[in-house]
Amino acid sequence: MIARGVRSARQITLLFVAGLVIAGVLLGGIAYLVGHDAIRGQIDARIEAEMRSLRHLQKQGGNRALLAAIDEDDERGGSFDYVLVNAWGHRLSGERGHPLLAIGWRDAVFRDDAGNGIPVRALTAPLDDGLRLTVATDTAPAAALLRTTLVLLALALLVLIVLAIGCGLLFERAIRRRLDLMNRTAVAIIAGHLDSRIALSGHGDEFDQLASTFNSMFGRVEALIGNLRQVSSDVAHELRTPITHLQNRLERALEEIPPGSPGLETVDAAIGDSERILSLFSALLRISEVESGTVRRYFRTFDLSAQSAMVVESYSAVAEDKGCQLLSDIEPDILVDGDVELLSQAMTNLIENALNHNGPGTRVTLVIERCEDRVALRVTDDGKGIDEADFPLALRRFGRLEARRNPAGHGLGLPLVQAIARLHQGALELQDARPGLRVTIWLRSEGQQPRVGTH
Amino acid sequence: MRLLLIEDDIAIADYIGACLSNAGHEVRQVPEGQSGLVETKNEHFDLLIVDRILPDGDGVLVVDSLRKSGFTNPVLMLTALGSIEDRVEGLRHGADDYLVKPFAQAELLARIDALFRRSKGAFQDVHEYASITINRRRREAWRAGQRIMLQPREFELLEQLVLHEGRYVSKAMMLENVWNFHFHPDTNIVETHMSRLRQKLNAGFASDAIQTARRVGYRLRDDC
Repeated sequence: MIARGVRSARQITLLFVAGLVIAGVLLGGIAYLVGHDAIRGQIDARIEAEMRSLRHLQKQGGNRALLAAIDEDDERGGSFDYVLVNAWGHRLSGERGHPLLAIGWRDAVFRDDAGNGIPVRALTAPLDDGLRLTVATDTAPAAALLRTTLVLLALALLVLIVLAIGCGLLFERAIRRRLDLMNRTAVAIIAGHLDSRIALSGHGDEFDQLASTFNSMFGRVEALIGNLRQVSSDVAHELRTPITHLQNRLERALEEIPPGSPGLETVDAAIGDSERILSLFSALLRISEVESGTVRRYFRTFDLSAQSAMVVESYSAVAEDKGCQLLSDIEPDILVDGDVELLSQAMTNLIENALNHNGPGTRVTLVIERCEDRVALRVTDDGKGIDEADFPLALRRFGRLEARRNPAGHGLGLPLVQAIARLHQGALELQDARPGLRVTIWLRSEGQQPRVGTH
Repeated sequence: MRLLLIEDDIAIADYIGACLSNAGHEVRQVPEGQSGLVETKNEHFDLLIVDRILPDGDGVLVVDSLRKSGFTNPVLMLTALGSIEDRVEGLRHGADDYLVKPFAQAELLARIDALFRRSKGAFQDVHEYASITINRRRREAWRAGQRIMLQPREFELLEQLVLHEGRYVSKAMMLENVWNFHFHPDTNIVETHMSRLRQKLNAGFASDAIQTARRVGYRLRDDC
């Protein structure tokens, strides 16, 4: 249960310290109680022995011998105090400050000549001839011994706590260091450095095992993406080469055909066809390159506001020529980490979509704004829009929707924009602008790249 | 100009070779990176064209070792890949420009021209071609002494035309140099802005200063 509740290295450390302290207090407490009982038992045994020997003396030598022994002991300043009374309650021996006690064991306080209270352990028992004897001994030395023990135990506990906290912090730091290493590697891989691996400590511990499992996973990811890249470049090379030959031949034919002859138009159209094949093909390859994430290596911080303003400036002329209007609302100085060209391509795709799918009179707005720790790049039009039910279709490659909306396009516009948003660890959101379509690319602002793990 | 072409596909190499010879360049063709490196040690070339995928390795490595051996003339990289990674790595390893196959003959010639011109360096503020003058620092333009007020993109298009001194500049080059776009938007933004530039440049003049050639690009007329 505890293990399930623990979430962080700090919590493990706190639990560890608390556990050690509880264990220390329990052990110390038990040691103290056992010591206390042992000392008390010893005192009682000594008192009992004295009582036995005095009783024996009385039986052998009568009351006179008993009194003599007691007085002699008192004069010697022995370790016991005595109170002896006769059957009529008359005190035969013992200081006045020593009270008369009932039969049995008692913890009592005797007063010395100066009137100071002395804690004593006392046994009172009836003797022959109706006498009653109390044998007591000072418990202060024993109490002092126990106090010293207690102080030593407290000191030991303090040392234990300090050690526990120290070990805990070391443990916490060690865990953090190892986890940070893994974290940094994973972040580097997300950032496109696919050959990053977690350095092993070489101890073969659990962290090394985990790290080497992660490393094999990273190796697998790298191999898969490498394959994808290899296939893409093979396809690119194998297809582009024959198309290059085709286009070169067509160009040569264009030069050889005399001006004005009917074949000219056919050749010209054929060149146009091969250009369309290429543009489709480039768009596909670009999507797969963007999806592989390798481009993240080239990310740098740039001013999205300035770049957007440039794109809007370039496209407002295009919009005007189409009888449309391109407006913008750009919050200044927004920096993002990313690929300036790909984000420009995403912006131009969205603006071109809005202009091409809707007729003259359409008003298109590009907004760049900060929303908490994210940046919104938003293109809204007041045109025909898309049914909300069709949003998933709009994002599918070669989606029928795209083909219906823009017969000349290749249906890869929005899928590419989505891939670009994901490359920047962002998201693409489609909304009904009532009327029209609103497309938002959510980006992280500069320095907000994800940190996974211990923080 | 003397050019060295390192390309293993014979059909493409022959086509490029023919293009370049027709344009008046002297071309040496080799099919492998190693033999290309040997050639550059023995002879002088003004410009190199290197294919990215060669039978004996990556063209990027050829450019790398070329640069390390002290070759400073322009290098144009050809590629059938066209990926972002491909372009960035190519330029990072010392290529000056990058052309994705297939390309039109005019595109290749325009780029070679631009590279050669760039290698000669043109860093002063004021440039002139025919009746057009531009001040690059102050971003001002004149035709026959008359000030022409231009939008930023229009000025940059004109700047490209003036810097190329009457030679064709392709649409792709305009997209790259003016917009820094290495992709082709569906809409022809080059055409849109070029027609605005043309309107402003020609207002009050009898002749069109800009000549458009289909599939080739734009250039300034030398008699404007």
